[in-house]
Amino acid sequence: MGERPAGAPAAPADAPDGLPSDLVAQLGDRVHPIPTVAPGELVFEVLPADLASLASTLVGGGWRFVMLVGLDERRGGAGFAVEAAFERPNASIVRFRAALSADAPSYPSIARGVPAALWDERELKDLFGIVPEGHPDPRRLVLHDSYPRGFHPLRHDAPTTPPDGPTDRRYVPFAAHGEGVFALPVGPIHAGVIEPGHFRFSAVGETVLYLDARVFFTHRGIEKLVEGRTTSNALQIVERSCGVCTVTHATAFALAIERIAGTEPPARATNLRAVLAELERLYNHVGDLGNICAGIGFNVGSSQLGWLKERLLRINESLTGHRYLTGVVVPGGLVTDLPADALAALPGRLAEAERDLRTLLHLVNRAEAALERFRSTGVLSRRTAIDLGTVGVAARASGVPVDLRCDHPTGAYGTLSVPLVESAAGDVAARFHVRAQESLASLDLLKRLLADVPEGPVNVPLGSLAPGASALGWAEGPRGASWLWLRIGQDERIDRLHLRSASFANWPSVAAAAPGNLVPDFPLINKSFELCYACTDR
Amino acid sequence: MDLLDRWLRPLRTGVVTSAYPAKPPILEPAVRGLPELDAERCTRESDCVAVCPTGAISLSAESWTIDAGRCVFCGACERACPTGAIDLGDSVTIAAVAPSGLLHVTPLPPRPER
Repeated sequence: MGERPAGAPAAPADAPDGLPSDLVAQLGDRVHPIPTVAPGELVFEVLPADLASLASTLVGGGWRFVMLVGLDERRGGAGFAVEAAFERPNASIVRFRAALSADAPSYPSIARGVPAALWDERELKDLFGIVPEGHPDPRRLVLHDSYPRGFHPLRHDAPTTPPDGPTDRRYVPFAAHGEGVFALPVGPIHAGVIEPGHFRFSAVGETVLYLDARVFFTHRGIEKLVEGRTTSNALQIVERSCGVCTVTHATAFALAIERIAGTEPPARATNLRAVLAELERLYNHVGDLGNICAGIGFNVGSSQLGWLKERLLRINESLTGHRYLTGVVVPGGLVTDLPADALAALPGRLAEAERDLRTLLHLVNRAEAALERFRSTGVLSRRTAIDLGTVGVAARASGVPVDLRCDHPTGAYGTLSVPLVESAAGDVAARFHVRAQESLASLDLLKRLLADVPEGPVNVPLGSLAPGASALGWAEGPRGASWLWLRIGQDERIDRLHLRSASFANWPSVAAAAPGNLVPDFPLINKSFELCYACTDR
Repeated sequence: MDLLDRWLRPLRTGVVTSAYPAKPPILEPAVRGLPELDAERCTRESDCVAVCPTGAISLSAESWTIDAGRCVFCGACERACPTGAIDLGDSVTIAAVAPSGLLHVTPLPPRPER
């Protein structure tokens, strides 16, 4: 496991309840613990006015921002509420809850001190009408111009279809102005089979001065859709938040349910879940390495790695019946055992894939013309990565050693000791290198997992889900940390679910990495982050 | 040498795409295609209708119908069927030119006399 960021001060001595002592001193009697069923989570009630200062204090002390969750509790006679969660490796996760008024919910914005929360607060404002006062970017994020003013879909009394009504003024992209500065609008419809995003470049000649990235064109209202559903029904929707992080989302969801129910999945299930998670990482990473090659027109690399990815997808199909691994992970374990013959053939098929991957990486790493394009392109500095709360490959390639498999290990990862691959350069070459090394590391983890698959059942009955109980779930996916906040309502149904995917966390980093580069290099930079639009937009 | 390798590798790899639709798609044995009903074994318990998360299955006295436009291939019906009459087979070529083409109807034999 890598070192912690050298710039972060040593964590202060903790008070008995897990909070830094200076924070307890700062808040005095304005912080009250709330009992929770979720192990390793600390929940506190605080005043809305204290949120910003305590968020800044925590993040300044080396904690990492996890998510903001909006809650509409008016049906229970209360008002709105907002919850902010923070984590530190191998420590408790803390959640701060602040009650807000029912009529005009607002609180002082935390994003000025914690830029990682910039998009969370804009989303909260769109979907709940909770106003983060003093937010540096008050534009809409999730709901584009066509939605009427005052329509906040995650409020319980919001109609499922937006009503007719006057909309806000047209979207104004952030752009640079001056002599010789051109605005280059690109998208949301692109050449090629990719998801929709609008990129507004401000450029002088070929050089990008500023990039305003706009996504959420595929917002489907998944969080609203799962409200009131049974957990088994909601799982079908959550694991399809996007097409390529299926195991990640399903595992995070299952974990949250299991933490509320107090259920431990059996050893065979946790082992096979890790097998599936590494297979998901592997096919994504291999595909992304190919896509990076495609970003510079290096066709041998992209076609050969694409063919390798296809073979990995067929391995997925042989194990689960589905190329993208849906319908296997469920709360309590796995839905059924994996077919014995496919499991027996897996080490051989993976050994073949590893041999080809090593050959192909050698081929790309010897192609100086390709590497020349990767180096010093799309640099994301370590400081920016920390400020924006970048996760996953992008963070590790910028010298920020974060990986939930190491920081908050669950299931089989508790005993697996995952190697943390890092690079300091923060450019496309670094992200290519980290992905390549992580692919080989996943193949090694798979060997270790498959050498010792425990016998026994693959699922256990779930404990009961108490109304009002809430917990976090998480998983380190191919793109990084995906977090999920879940609260149970009546009859073991979903009261509120919030999914903050790794792609949601990393989009602002893509925009931050673009300035100073050539416009034609942006496809390459974008591919080196390789984020999902669908699980960002939800 | 490296350049030569980059030239020769695609030639050595050869054609890897399949001849679909002239030939059937390449599938693994475990593939989950559209649920298929063995009408002889169906006892009309309608457990499949109850467990389907998307309401893709309907059952009448004469037929069992699955809507390929709703099915998400989760396999819940296959696991719920008390007589093992449902199988997620290898039928994956389900695109249709009209919505009605997504409805796959399996006629059921007349209910046996007691």
